[in-house]
Amino acid sequence: MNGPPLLDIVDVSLSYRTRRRVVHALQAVNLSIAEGEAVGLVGESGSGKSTVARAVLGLTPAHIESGSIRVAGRDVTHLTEDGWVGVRGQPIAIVFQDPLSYLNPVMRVGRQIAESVELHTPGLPVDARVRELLEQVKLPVTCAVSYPHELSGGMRQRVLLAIAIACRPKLLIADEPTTALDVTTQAEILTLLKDLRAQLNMAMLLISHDLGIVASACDRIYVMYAGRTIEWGRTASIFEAPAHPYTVGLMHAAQADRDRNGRFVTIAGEPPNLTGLQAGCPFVARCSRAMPQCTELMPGPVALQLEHAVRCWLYGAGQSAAATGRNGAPS
Amino acid sequence: MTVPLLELRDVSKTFRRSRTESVVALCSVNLHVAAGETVALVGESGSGKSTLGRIALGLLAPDGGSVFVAGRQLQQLGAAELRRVRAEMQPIFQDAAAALNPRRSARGHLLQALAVRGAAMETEAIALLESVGLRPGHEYLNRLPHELSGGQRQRLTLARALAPQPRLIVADEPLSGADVSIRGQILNLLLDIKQQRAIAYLLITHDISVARAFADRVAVMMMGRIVETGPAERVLRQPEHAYTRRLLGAVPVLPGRSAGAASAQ
Repeated sequence: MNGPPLLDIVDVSLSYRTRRRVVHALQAVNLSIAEGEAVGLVGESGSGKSTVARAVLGLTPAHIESGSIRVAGRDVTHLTEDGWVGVRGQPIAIVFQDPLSYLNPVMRVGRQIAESVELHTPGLPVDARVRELLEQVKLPVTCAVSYPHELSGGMRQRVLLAIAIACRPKLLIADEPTTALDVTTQAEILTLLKDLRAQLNMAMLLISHDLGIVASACDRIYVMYAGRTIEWGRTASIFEAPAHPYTVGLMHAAQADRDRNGRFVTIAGEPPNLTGLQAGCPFVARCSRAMPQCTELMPGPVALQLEHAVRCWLYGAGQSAAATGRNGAPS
Repeated sequence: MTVPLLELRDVSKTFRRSRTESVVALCSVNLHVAAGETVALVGESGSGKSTLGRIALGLLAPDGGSVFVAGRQLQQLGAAELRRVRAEMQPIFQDAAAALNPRRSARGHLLQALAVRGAAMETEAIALLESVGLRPGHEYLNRLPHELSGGQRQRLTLARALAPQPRLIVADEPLSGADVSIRGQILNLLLDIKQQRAIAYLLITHDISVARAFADRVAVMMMGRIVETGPAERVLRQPEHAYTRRLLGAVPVLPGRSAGAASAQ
């Protein structure tokens, strides 16, 4: 691998403050993406997946408290609002779960795509470029004169994708891009994402709660729980040998697996709320293999094999348990 | 042959959108659910699954065809009789928060649904809460919906559905709002209730893995018609209809597992 990774998130912690409480949304999150790579980020609602996506583009209301985010080697951790202009759209674009709320309801979609073209690739003949983009996302060119409400959910997501790739991004963040869609439409959008990545040599961060989607589309996977990245590795490695008890449980649950007694395999309890800092592993209360040290300290990443790492005491303390302790107790 | 608990014969429903435009939601649908049986209704959004559920519950009148509950035709019942028959069929919905009154406690929700009053009501409400896993029940009686987690709210709607001792529960996407790690808990609860109370389910879902794991029979809907129906094993392993094959083919499968490996023997 030459040069720095396209995106490199190192030990990032971030919290949201409301009037009465502090929510520790991200705690010592690590994630990196190389050029052209497809990386999946899985976790349940509230695990911090979307906060990661927003932090990368400076879209969170909170500041990063510790750690750093680098985009193609450039530190963007503490950019000003003007500084973000050089990151958003190019080199990093994003599409969201609910296209309808990101499209202007009273503007024809062709115009909305044209705005992106004018902003990011000035000088190009706009109409021709809009037609080209519509073809790239496999929408009929006649869609340009439609309003968002006249399109189906799948078509709207394609419009959002056209706006995103108009910027010619090196990295596309897709935050639950198919969650609101039916399975057959979902399959079409996933195929489109794959084609676009190949055509444009674009890296992707695919955020989803659905292990199946991420497995089908990504080279590597990160698993998040309660604001932490707890396991990551190559897709095949994660699915063949999941290490963290949470990842193991998630895989059974995702398939509605049943045990010998015919009961559905489930993870007892509920995800913790993230107000107040807890020492130790956030999964400890639900973990069937918890040990005394689990409540005291979150272990650092332990490399299991090439590119597969886990943060769990079952596999040892890891290299940076002390550093994690530091991140676990800011201010 | 015994009379099915629920039977829909040639049921059709068309919604008028405007003077010129109308949507055929159901087109001569036939479906039956036997006592104690679980039937999953799978299909994509807009296929007519929820309309069928509403017609089965008597919440919506069909344009054509008839609905029978334990042999009695819904459309021919008087108001009082209809109310009694409806009590035997209870709905639960996807969005538990929307199905609960935000200003009413758990006790208030159950009180509406229970026939008994006074001290007996309290005991029965507590028993119901505990039967859906909200233990100890008395601690939950005074809770308002916002003081419950998403999973607990779904349990409360289930407790309310069980209060009139129904024989059929029509569950419309009951798991869609739940996180994956919570989903198994709700499924186990539905399984327990099915075994303890011999309740039949009409389970409306877009989630094939849930249908596969949970249902005795599966009916596949497309554009207002049931295109294929049969034992869950058979339909989901060896689908006959091209649409069923397309639907199953679109479901992402985890690596290292075949589509049929869902149940660990």
